Amino acid sequence: MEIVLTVNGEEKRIEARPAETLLDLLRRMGYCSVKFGCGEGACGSCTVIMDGRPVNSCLVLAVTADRREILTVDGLGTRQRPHPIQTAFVEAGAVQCGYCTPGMVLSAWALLERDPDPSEEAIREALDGNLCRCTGYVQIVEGVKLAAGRMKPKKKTTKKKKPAGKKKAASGKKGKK
Amino acid sequence: MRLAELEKVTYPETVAEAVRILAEGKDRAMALSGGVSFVFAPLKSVEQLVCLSRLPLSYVREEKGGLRIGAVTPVADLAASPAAGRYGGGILRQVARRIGSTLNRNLITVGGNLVQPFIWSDLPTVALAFSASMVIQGPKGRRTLKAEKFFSRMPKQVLKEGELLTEVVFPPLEKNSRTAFEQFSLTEVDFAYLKTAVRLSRSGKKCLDLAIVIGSATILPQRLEEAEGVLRGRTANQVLVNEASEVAAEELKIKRDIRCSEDYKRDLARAQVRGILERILLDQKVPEWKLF
Ligand SMILES: Cc1cc2nc3c(=O)[nH]c(=O)nc-3n(C[C@H](O)[C@H](O)[C@H](O)COP(=O)(O)OP(=O)(O)OC[C@H]3O[C@@H](n4cnc5c(N)ncnc54)[C@H](O)[C@@H]3O)c2cc1C
Ligand code: FES
Ligand code: FES
Repeated sequence: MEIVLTVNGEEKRIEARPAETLLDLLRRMGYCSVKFGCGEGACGSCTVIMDGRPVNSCLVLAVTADRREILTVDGLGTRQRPHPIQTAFVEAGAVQCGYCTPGMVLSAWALLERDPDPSEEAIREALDGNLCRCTGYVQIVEGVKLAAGRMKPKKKTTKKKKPAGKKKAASGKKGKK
Repeated sequence: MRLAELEKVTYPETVAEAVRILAEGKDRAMALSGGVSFVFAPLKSVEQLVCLSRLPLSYVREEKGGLRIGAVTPVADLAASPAAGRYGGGILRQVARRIGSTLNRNLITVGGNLVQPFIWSDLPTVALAFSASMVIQGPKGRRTLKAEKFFSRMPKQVLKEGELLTEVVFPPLEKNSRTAFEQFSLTEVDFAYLKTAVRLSRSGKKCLDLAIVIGSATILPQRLEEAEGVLRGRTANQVLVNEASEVAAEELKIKRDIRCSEDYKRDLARAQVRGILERILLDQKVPEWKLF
């Protein structure tokens, strides 16, 4: 069954097998950063961003993903130009064997898109579906905080008083629902 | 997973179209909402999958008639919904936030959670406690079923061929009503051993009406009417609350769970019901169970 997927900005036409999961399909397409862990939605190593939300690709039947936009960690940064979250993870010691890392980075990315200045509780909640058997999570949470600090949009310093009664200008991303 | 005979996947954009395709496909077509349950309940061999994801049924709205939630709403959206936060002290947000993980909640939908209960399912327990209305659209038109009817059997047997759950409506609550939901599990990621939802209305300490519902003892949630009868219309005190929780624990049917004994579940039921009633009916400062 042919489906059309946009993976990391590139449109792909691909034959999906009836019982194949999105995880298996992506790996067959060469996106091997998407890892198989449990195959039942419990570990998060197969995390991808689908239409802007982090999801378990092992829980999605590939044939039902037609016209979806997928982002894998390969689409975030490269070895030459890593994403700030990737750099922060390395600096914070948030990576040991690395098996959970693509999923962790993507869940962190989705969180920071929505909430650029998250509390520790919000970070832990956003990563609650991503298991790590190596680091013990402390460094991962530190990595996300470090990345958040670096990625935070710079506050404007001009302090012009708005005339009373006028609405605040909507800030693009935050207004998204 | 057996999908060897799959020939077609459709993405209807209107409910009418989805119903038509499902009715024509009979038992050879199957609806998928979040599509997650194939992990637990292998898909039967169908020729056509009907994806509900493009239906305009993803919303949480506050209206005069209550809180209306579209069947295709991801539980992540329910967990984040300000409208749901204002309903019943935020109980629906509290429940939705604890369904699976953040990643799971982006896929699992309200409709899928209600139509196919598993022993760990959360929304059926709350829907029954609030006597929510299930709006169903089928080839012969629209009908509404109260949660009591919807969960009287497995909902998939209650729905007729071609019928879809389109919306669940939580009724407006009286000013003097109180609600609570508690569940118990050993770790944050474990499925709950037992969960209790209570909704009551009161005047002072007099309990005007109430619903006590326990989930995860059997696949379908159970409303404990004998226990409710102990308190309904009476001025509550510790003795009556103790009696109601005893009766609740006794009347509860319990399906075998390899993680603990039946006696243990009965004790949990007694403790959950008593703790909740002491808090929301007797106004005691009973610490909530740590909500994992
Ligand atoms: C790791 C994991 C942990 C989980 N933990 C919990 C938990 O703690 N608590 C909890 O409550 N749930 C939990 N779940 C979710 C639960 O077990 C079900 O998998 C989920 O509710 C199914 O929802 P869905 O939207 O994916 O439904 P689907 O899989 O799409 O559908 C389920 C069934 O209902 C039918 N159906 C769906 N929508 C409709 C509709 N609108 N009208 C008619 N028929 C319909 C489908 O045909 C299908 O047969 C968990 C799931 C996973 C993977
Ligand atoms: S492989 Fe998908 S969650 Fe574990
Ligand atoms: S670094 Fe090894 S599992 Fe997380």
